[in-house]
Amino acid sequence: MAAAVIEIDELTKSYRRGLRRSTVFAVQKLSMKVQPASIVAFVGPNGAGKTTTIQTLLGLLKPDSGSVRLFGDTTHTALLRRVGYQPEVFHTYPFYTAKEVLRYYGQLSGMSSAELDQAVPSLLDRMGLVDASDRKAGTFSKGMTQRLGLAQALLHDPELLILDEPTSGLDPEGRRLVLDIIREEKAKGRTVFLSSHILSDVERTCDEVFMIRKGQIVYAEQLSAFAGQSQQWEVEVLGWNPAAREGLLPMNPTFLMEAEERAVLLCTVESKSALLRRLTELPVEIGSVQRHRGATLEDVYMKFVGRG
Amino acid sequence: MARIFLIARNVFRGILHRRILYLWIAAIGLLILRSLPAIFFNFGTEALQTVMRKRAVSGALDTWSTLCIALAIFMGASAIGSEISAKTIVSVFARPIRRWEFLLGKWIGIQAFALLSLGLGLIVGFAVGSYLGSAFEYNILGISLAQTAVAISLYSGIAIALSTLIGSGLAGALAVLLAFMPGLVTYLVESPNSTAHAAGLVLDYVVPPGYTSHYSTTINAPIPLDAFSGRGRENRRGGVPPFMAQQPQEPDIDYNIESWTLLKNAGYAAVFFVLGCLILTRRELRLA
Repeated sequence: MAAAVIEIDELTKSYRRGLRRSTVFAVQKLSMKVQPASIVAFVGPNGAGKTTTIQTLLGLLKPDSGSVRLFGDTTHTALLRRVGYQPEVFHTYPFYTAKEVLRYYGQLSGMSSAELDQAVPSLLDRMGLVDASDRKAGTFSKGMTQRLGLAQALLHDPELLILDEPTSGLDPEGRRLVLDIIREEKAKGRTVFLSSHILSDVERTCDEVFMIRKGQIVYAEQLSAFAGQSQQWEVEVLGWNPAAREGLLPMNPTFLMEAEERAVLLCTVESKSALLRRLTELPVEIGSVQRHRGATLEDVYMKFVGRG
Repeated sequence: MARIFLIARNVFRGILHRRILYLWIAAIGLLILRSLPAIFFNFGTEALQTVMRKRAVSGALDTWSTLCIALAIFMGASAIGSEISAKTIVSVFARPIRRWEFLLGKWIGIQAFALLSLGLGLIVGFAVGSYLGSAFEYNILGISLAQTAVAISLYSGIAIALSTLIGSGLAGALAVLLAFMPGLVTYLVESPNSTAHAAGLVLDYVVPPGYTSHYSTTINAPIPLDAFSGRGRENRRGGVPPFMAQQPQEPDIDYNIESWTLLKNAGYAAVFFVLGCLILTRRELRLA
């Protein structure tokens, strides 16, 4: 298995706050691994520790304890050549045009003039900013600034993209464009670490999700787990009785709900026909058969991260 | 190296964009207002008129060089603070750039702008001086320019170094305070009070020798002794006022001491700058 692109081990980061300088833990013993060529979502409420984790990854903050590794290495500055970062709100120099912004950041990343001549126009085109390429960045709308922020992150063709709320402030068209680009980057073998509040975007785009609450990972799962659940079926049985239960036991059914006179059974696509056939042989009535609505990411979020 | 000059160029563009440029233009206006009366108004005899014109040029050079140093302090103090408050520093430090490279680029950009300002002022001063028939003392002009250039490096370096640790306003204020400290240090060192003397000795190590301007003597223009004969209040009191008549015709400048001071100032600039780099390298950039 290839080495993890991001490896965070027991990361703890605290701040001192207020007049009494009381310690507040932004991140506590946080561990996670991000595998290459995957899109990983980092989800949590405001103040959960997402930005602290990202800023520690970028070397802007230093851990109190624990370690952060990028591409298996702890030395940061040179590694940042392989990382593209889009902050939640992209702040840049208002006196530069869009083209100059990209050239500036590209040169900081070590790109040559020839490389920039090739990359900048095509990236502006990809982001739908061609018409604004000679406009001062200070005159850009929020959505345009966000797209310019993504452009500067993609500019040097990094192996790892760290995107902090890349779709916030974008109209539906802009949002779709950004999500398409993220998927394209994955297809090119890039790794995307995506912090987002928009769970539908995460569900549609990501391979894996890490949920963070109060500085700790409270849930981590492959998104395919959610897709798998939707392949199951729910069978509602009316007139439920012990004899029917006895008759079904050889099939080893999964009960979603079992009450007097009523039960709901869960079955796979493959076992659905056999279960229905068996039920017709028993002294019960089939109430309904419907696709099982598995727990959505939002359900999981509310359960593990949501208040209360 | 390319990254350092890229940052320096960015500083330059940023300054041209900022309102500081309007301050610069205002300073030019003030200087013109300060100098024009001396050049065009009639002060009495032709001889005195000539002297006043020449002195207006050297005085303008003196003021302009001080303004350039003040500009360098102002820009140095806001070098890091402005990037942090605008949050532009995040996208820069997310790139493979070392923090000392960033700081050095900033320092070079600020010095370049301040030196360019100084150069423009010098060109204008030289042109006006030549037009008025002033004979510049090139040795003194040379050492004065060197003093200003090193002072620009020194105080912008101090301001940048302080801005890595504290806010822009405080960094600027402390840099200005350091510029005024050498006089106090001399006073403390020479104090008969042992505590003050000890404090002076300690401060002597911390405070750089500072900036001494010799621009006023770059144009040799002593007041003629008969300048006020025949008119004015001064004549009634008995001729040229003593403070004007006693202007030295050949200023007493020890070039060895001046060179040594330059070296020491340059050394302090380097030390302060390295300290700033160390602080910024270790500093966490927590941006909400």
